[in-house]
Amino acid sequence: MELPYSLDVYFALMGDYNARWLPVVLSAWVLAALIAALTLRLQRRAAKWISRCLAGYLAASCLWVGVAHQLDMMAELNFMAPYYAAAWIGQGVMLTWFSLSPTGINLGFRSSLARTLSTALILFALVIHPLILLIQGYDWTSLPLAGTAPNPTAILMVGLLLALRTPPRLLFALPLAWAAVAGASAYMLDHAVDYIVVISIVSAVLLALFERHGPARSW
Amino acid sequence: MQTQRLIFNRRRLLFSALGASLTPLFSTDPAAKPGTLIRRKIPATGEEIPALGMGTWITFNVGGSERLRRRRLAVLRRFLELGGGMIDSSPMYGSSQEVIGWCLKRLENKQGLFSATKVWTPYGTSAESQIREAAALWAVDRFDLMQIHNLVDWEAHLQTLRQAKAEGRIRYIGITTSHGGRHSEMERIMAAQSLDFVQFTYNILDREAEARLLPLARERGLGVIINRPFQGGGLFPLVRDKPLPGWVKEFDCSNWAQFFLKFIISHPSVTCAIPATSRVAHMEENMGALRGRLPEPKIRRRMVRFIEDL
Repeated sequence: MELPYSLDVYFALMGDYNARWLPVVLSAWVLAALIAALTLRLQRRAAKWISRCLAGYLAASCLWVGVAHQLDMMAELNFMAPYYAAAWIGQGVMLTWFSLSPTGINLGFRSSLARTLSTALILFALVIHPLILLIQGYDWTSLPLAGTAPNPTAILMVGLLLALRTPPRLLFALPLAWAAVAGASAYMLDHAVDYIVVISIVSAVLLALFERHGPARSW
Repeated sequence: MQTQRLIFNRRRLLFSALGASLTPLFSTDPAAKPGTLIRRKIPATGEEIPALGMGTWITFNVGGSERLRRRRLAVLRRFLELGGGMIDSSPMYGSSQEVIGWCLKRLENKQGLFSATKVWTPYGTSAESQIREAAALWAVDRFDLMQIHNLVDWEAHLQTLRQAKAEGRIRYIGITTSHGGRHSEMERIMAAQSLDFVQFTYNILDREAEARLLPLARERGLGVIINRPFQGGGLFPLVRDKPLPGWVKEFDCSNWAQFFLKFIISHPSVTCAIPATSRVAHMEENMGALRGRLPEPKIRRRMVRFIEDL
């Protein structure tokens, strides 16, 4: 099995995509860093407000990835992209609902392991993933960044979802499905860094779904 | 339209008569002169095409990037300059057809182009719209060859293709498969249906087609297009850092790409191999296989032994 495009073409088009949407790409990354920092150092009084921001940010990111990255950029390269776009948009709609719902989602790490993994995944999505690609020799202008490109956004998403007291299980379906896509791409494009994407997402999903319910630390 | 059809039919009749009466359809001419392009006759008509074409899977799928399109334009220009003919694509190949059309519009000299693409849809009724869309993307009035990709919904598509051929919008029709898949089904279709071309995988490592498909194609008078001639690039790691053996001079081979391609086009049933590349230097290496002598059967066996011993 092969993908219908090469890694070189993907990163060249990522360069065009980043240049075209530069203000959005940079704003999305900065906002992600801000929300991550607030989530990891959240305050009791602001918790509800932060959780709405978190869900709202993830919703906007998913909708953006679905429409701009998958439909607008990738659909001309890959016949599967419209299906992926539909999944990302579906996730965006669900997250929008959670961000607006009166009950919404509640912040609160369920364990120190969840906090550690969440921190690690957020750092990986925002900083380490692009650094690895830079070290591999990709131009900084073509780096896929959290908030606007699917792989780092999926990792950021599971990292942030781990910061929820009771993360809705349905929200893990897309990251898990995306882990399968990333794994297949890693194999077919011989791009080892994408295996880390798979490991990151799967470990977060396993922890979120199967961790024993201890006393949740909530704010 | 009617006049065009008459001219087309007359030309076809003439080619058929020539094909039937002149030299054997699949003469490999191992003693071809160094400067002469190696050409093969299309069994259905006797029309000759260069024995090397160009595939576009992955390599021409570069989306809207003008920088990458210009690089593909250089590859395509060199391909035609060096005597290449068939360009093969498919709706499955992402933006490849659009990129081919973009390149063709910018080429002053398109002489020798043999346009080949495919229909690829599980819905028989949408084949017609795919043909029209492909013609618009390539900016051609008619295709030289329209194939059914991977035998998808082939029964319905074959009717559409035959109708388009009868109307002169397609010159030849064919079916394809790749990666060694669905050979049995392809064999059944080849035996039962009237086709002009078949396309499948064949290379020095994957020689499954030698057993049935290649002999059957010859028996049925079908043109044979060979995809994945380098096994998807997998042949080159086998010979990395290995020098060419001295005996390759016997068939005017100067690099490994030519070694692999000459093995394929020296098979008497093969009409055209379609290697894909995104680099001009690789295109030049590949197209070198279109000139000079071809390996004789004894040398072909030696080539196989050499690769199997690696």
